[in-house]
Amino acid sequence: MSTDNVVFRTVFKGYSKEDVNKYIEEMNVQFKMSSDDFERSLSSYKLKAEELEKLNSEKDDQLSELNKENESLKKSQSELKDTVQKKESDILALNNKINSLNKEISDKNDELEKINLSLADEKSNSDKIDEYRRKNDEQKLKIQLHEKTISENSDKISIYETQIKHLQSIIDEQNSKIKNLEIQLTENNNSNMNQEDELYKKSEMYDKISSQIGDILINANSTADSIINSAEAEAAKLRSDTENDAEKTKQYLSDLSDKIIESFDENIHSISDKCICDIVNTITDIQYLTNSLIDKINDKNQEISNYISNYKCSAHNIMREKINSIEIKSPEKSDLNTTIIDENITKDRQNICVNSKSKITKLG
Amino acid sequence: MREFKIENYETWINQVTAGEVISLSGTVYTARDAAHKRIMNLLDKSQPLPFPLEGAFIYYAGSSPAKHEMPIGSCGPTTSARMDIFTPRLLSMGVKGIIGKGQRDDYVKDAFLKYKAVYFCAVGGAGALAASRITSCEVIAFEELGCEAIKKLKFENFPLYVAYDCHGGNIFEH
Repeated sequence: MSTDNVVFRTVFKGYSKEDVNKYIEEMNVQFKMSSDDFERSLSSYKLKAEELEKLNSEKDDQLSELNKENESLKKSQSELKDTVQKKESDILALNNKINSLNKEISDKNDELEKINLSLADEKSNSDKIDEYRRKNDEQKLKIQLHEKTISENSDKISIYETQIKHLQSIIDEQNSKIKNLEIQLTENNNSNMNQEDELYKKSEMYDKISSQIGDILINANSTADSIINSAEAEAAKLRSDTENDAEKTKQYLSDLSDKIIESFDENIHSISDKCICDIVNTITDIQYLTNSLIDKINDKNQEISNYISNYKCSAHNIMREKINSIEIKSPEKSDLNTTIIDENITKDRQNICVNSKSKITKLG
Repeated sequence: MREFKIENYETWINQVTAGEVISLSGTVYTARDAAHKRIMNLLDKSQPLPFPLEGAFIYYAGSSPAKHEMPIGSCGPTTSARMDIFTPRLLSMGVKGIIGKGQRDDYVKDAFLKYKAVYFCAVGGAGALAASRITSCEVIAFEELGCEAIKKLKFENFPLYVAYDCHGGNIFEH
């Protein structure tokens, strides 16, 4: 896909359109081919990944199976170890037995030699020799039997030894397998360990922070409690102080009010007495004045009434005289004239009353 | 919310169900990673343990120092998953209740079912609330581990969620 060695034919106002289009089409084809290649390789990689996953799961299964096998082998190994130990102890016991028997044989041989020597000395005593010979044969038989059991046991020992060797080889094989698996496991675990470490650190940090928050809350609670307690104590103190102050003030005010009331009572009594005396005096003065005024008014009233009656009489008489003169002149208008005269009389009376009242007020 | 006492766990341990909120009172022992490792060492060497495992309740927590006349400082639960490898062995030796935070591995869950024990979850991050429900605290082993030392606590109406019950119930599957 390199753009090296790409030459476009030039035409008027730039490169040839056909050349460029052709180049683009070629490029498209190349891109498509390469993308197809990539897709193919991707699918092959996917397949490989799936295969690897399968293989991984198979390996895991194998690992678990091998673990199980390992455990069973460990068990069998321990059992075999026990049997080997047992067999070894058996071998030791048998060896001891063989040694003791060998010793017995050598003792018996010594005895036989002695007997032979004694036989040589006592050739005449053939019965004894026969008996010794018989005994000797018996001992020989016994020795043969013992030798047979020894050979049998040695065979068994060799079989056991071969078995042990075989088992040991199996154990070694399994151990090497286990070691390989352990290496794999440690490799797998190492990657997990980092994540676990991170999680562990995070949880530790969370615990630390939460405990710090808890401590802060406890501190805050206790501080709040102490503040409330001190505030309550202060409030109680203030309350008691205020109550004391109030009591004192109350006492002071009551004393003061008592004093004021006492002094006020004394002043009031003296002032009121004086006032009452003054009032009584003025009332008596007023009474005297009013009485004198009333007397004067009465006198004046009497005077006015006298004037009025006199005026009435005189006016009445004048009126009568005038009416009589008018009746004589025009008898038909006499009624009208009398009413006019009466009206004039009432007007005069009212005027007189007003005048008299104004006079009275002036006098009062 | 039902209230239970640890001292008579035999009467109620089969009755609680996963998802239930209960109030627990009685003696519990705190132990975290380091303390668990020490306990395992003691068990391996057949040496005496700092507290009897039969019928014991273990709280996965490392408390802060006590303050302001309180018996204990902030005492919230820690992530239980870190103690997974130790739990089945302790359950097999008679531990009946474990208090922590978060899910456990499947084999640990199976161990709870097998040994008829209960896994409780405390509220994470609420150390102050937890501390307010603890009436006494006494360091009984591994003092050199500091906050991870084994402490004997007295719970008084400690609120807990039942996470795994004796019958295979699981709060995380709800």
